[in-house]
Amino acid sequence: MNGWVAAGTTFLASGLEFVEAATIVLAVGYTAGWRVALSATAWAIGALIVITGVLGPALLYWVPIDALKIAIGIFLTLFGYTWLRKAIWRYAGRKAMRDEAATFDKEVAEMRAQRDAARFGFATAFNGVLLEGLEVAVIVITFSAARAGTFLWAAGGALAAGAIVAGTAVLLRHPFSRVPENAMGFIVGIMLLSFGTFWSGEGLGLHWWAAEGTLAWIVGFYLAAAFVLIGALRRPVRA
Amino acid sequence: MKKIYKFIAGNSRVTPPGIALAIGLAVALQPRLGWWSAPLYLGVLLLTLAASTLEPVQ
Repeated sequence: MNGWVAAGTTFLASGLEFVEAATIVLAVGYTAGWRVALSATAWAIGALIVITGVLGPALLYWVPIDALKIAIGIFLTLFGYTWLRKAIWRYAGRKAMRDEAATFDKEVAEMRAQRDAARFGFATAFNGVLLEGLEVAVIVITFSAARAGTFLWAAGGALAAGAIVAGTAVLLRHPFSRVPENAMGFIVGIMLLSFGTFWSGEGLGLHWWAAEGTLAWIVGFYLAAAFVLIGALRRPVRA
Repeated sequence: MKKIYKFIAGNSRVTPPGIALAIGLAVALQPRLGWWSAPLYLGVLLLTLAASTLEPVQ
């Protein structure tokens, strides 16, 4: 697998998750104070580093490679379905497009309604960063475990996205309303689903018709299916 | 438990059984896997995607 494909996929997936986490941290920062928001973020990042550091090597050491590919494939396929069907619903007009400004306003309103803003804010920011980061950690671990030598590419993509989102959040101190989240979610959904299908199939002993090149075919099939489904699910426009 | 299910499967009732069906078919056909088994596997997963988009929007 091309390292750039792994890095690009983790970059987009991580970028989206980090944008969502940044919205929560910014809302907590504005309402409960930056000390609360940043300390909760630091604790969550620490927890994520421990989880990734323990889970990654343990998986590689204890689980046989074919079983690992099937497990990885199942996880990526499930994540891919979740991302892609949401994107399909959004492009078909069945689900509202994600709006970080509206999410930010909702989080701020929830925070202001709390009596103990500091404690609630810490819990909100910690949970937000941990949950959004956990999916990134699982994606990076699975990409690294499925192919030797992919860890640096996958982790590099995620770290680059984290650095860009964190840097921009510090500079702007405003929710990211201009990030094309829906298009990014669509691409990530296609890629996770394709890698998940390919690796689980390999683990099961299926013979992909074009070896590694089959991945491009699988991407094409899922893309075509997604466009057909968007067209089929689109609500007719009333005159 | 509900939160873990939401995290892993996005609360879908279709995608976990769809994946289980695809894997179950591949395992059941194990000694006789041929050129058609990979397209069959992909086909089941594509149908699962289509079915999952018919679930109530979450």
